[in-house]
Amino acid sequence: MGCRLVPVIAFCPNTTEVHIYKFFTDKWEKLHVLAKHDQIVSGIDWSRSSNKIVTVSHDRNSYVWTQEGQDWVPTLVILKLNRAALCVQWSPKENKFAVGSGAKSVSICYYEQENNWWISKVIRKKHESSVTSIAWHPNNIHLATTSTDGKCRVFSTIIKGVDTRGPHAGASVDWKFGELLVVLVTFSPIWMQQIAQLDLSPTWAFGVRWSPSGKTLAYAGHSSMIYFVDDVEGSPAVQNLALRDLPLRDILFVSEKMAIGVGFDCNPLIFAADETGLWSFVRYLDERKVTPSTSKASQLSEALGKLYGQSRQGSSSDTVEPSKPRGGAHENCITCIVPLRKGSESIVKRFSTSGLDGKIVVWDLENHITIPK
Amino acid sequence: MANTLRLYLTCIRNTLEAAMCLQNFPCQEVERHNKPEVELKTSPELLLNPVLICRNEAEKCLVETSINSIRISLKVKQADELENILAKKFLRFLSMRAEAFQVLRRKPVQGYDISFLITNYHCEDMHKHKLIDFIVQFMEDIDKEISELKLSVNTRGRLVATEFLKQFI
Amino acid sequence: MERAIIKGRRPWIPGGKAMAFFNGGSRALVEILTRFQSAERPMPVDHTFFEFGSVRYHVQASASDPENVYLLISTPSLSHEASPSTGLPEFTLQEARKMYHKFAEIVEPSKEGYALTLKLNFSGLTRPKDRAKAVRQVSLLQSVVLGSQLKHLLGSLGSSGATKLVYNHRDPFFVSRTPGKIKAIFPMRFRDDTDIAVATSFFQELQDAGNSYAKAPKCSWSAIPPPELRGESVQHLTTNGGFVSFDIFERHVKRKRAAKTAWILLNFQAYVKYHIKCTRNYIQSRMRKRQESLAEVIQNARLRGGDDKKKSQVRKKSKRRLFSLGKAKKLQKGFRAVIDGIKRLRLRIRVKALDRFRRCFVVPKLATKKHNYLRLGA
Repeated sequence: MGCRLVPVIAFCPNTTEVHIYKFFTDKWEKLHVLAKHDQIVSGIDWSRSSNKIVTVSHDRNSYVWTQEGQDWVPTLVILKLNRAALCVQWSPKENKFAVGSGAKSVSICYYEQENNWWISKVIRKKHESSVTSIAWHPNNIHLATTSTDGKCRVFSTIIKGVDTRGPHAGASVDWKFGELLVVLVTFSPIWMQQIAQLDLSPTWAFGVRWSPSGKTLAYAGHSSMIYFVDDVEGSPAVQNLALRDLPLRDILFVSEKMAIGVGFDCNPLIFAADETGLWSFVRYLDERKVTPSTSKASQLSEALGKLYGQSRQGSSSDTVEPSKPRGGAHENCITCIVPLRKGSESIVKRFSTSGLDGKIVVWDLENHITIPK
Repeated sequence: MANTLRLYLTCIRNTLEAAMCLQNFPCQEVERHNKPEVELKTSPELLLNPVLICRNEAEKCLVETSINSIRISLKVKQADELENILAKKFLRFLSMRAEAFQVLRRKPVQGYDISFLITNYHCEDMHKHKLIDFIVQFMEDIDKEISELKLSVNTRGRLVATEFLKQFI
Repeated sequence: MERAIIKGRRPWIPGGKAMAFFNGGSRALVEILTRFQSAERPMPVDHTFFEFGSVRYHVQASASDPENVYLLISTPSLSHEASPSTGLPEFTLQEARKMYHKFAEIVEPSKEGYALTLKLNFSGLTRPKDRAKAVRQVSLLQSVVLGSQLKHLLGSLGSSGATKLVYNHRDPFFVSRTPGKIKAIFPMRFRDDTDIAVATSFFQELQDAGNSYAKAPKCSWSAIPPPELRGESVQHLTTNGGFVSFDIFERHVKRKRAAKTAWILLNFQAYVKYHIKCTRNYIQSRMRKRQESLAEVIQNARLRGGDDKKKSQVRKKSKRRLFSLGKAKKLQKGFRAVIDGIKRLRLRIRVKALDRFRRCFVVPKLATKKHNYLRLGA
């Protein structure tokens, strides 16, 4: 489900538990099992500098786990939610974390030193449906959310006593907590082109992420769309990119000009922007093997056959050929993509993806793609 | 004829390929519940537009999709009374053994002969392409089985009738 | 024949062994009489049983008088006009006397509630072969009784209207005589839609096949009652399977043929029902087979499908081995349950372990694919 930090990794094997594995020279070994939730764990985030793990679950609870000696000790966080929690993320400064939920709300949690207790403030009545994904702006104030109502929103989360108004927190504007800054509406044709009834229905939005500088915001729509939004706070400029294949679930900015999308295609997609800032799909990361036996001629005839609505074997048999398994590293939907950073470098060179097939795959971009800065 | 069946099934396969993008999604309306939204239909925004694929008036396939579940309902061709009876009998037989198929709904959606309910849990448990293969093969097999059954019922009838008449000689 | 239907699980090959039951012999009667004769010590026998739903037999013999066996039979009165309730018509008694004169005599008057009482005495027959033949003949008693009545009826019908015949009390049929031919009309009633569908297909084939069998009576099937039945009560004219009628000409009832034709017609409804039952079984077994093959497809779709396959194979093997042992059924069942239990237990552990193994992390060696990747940007 979620993962962090090689050679130590935390993930949820689609159960109520979170497992922590460590890589020892040649094999992975299970170090800890964090078992406190009583329903499936829906989100994990491991803070890099403060070394805390926050987990949220469909049981509406959240725990912050701190390492004391060898053990991980949980602290319950009252989220004030009456529905399942769906996603969680530490803020860049790691003094807050945000939880998106099925209660159509977002909880912002922070630690209160005096009471030795995690406090949560809830942004209510802004979402019309479940919050599927959240992303912190690097300024530690702005929070972007996507929801199954098809909208992407950006909130301000200034909390007195926690946030000091720094130079990058927007000096000219006085934001209050929970103030809704932007609503981006995803309107698109429904997901199947074939029937093309063009009923302009909003579809669900997922996987919102900010670029490292916070200038660009990206999120995915279930209509196999990816949206890149520049200048969110000023006059947003939106770029829609329609995908050829299945929708995305999560996005990761590798740099300002490059992003990786993962989802139901079981294969990460690479997107890149040119000098003018125009985003386009580059290719699949995990190249699918083309069967060498297929000659050019037969490919052509197949293409022609498709054009006329029949394949080469169409006349001889009325059965539909069984679909072929995907040849990539993942065999089922990829649900999560997490960067693996060393130190404070701004460019992500390695990242891990985890899917519903029970696999976690670590990818190394460094040798293969020149990442534009 | 054979060709239109192939097209029909290919269309269904492609539709399912696109529609079967499911995920675990807890109920927004009821606390601590996680039920197929396509059955509950409590939040309209979690449902997609249903797709109806028709081969002809008698044969059609309705694909209803939601965020965590998909419901596929089939109407099977029944050219005459015997096919109608055989189809009804066969599909009831299969529905009664739904537990063997996991994704089979015990009761078909109104107006259809048989329905499947596929949830995100099925997708986590099974290969998506094989699951789609199953649905397509199921449709093919039902078609085949009914026409074969009809043929053999008639053949048996003829043999038995011949034997009966032979008695008089 | 009833018993044959109950046992009708095995596929019925038309014209095969199963057809023998339509010849009219009572297997139960054969069994009782054979056992009685082959017993070392004389023992009392007192059996009452039904066949065809409405034919009642009573076999009685006492230990003190082992030579004489009393066989009583009560058959439905085929037609009110043909046989008054007092007893069997004279021509039937004559026929019975003629057939059984070697070893039986008719006791008159018959015992209360039975149409005919036969006193059997096999002591005159010394050879076992003769005895077996006599038993076989006795078993045909009801076909003698009923067949002779229908035969008589076919020969002596008045030309006015139809006569209702009740062989099986639920399904009466009609015989009407017009100059030159006799028409036997069967109103067909069935339990459910499936029966009707199967029967309809059969009737159509019967109609078609009749064309290639010129010697057989011409058969026709219609959904509405034929004109011969005008005036019958509505109750008899309401059917869900239509009406099947046979045109019987002079040549079908000539001398020896009469008894045979009569017997075939008497059993037509049972014949159709037997066909339906067998066809239903056939459909059921085909559906089960198809269900199994489809269930296998979905089993194989599972991410851990390979293991499940192994499991089912193991189970199949063990089943076969156990069957060949031929132990008592109960023992077999218990044994199999235990074996399967153990197997399942073991397999479950194994599956779990595999599961864990599967969750290991795959780190693709991208270095080997270096040339595959594009250079971007720079």
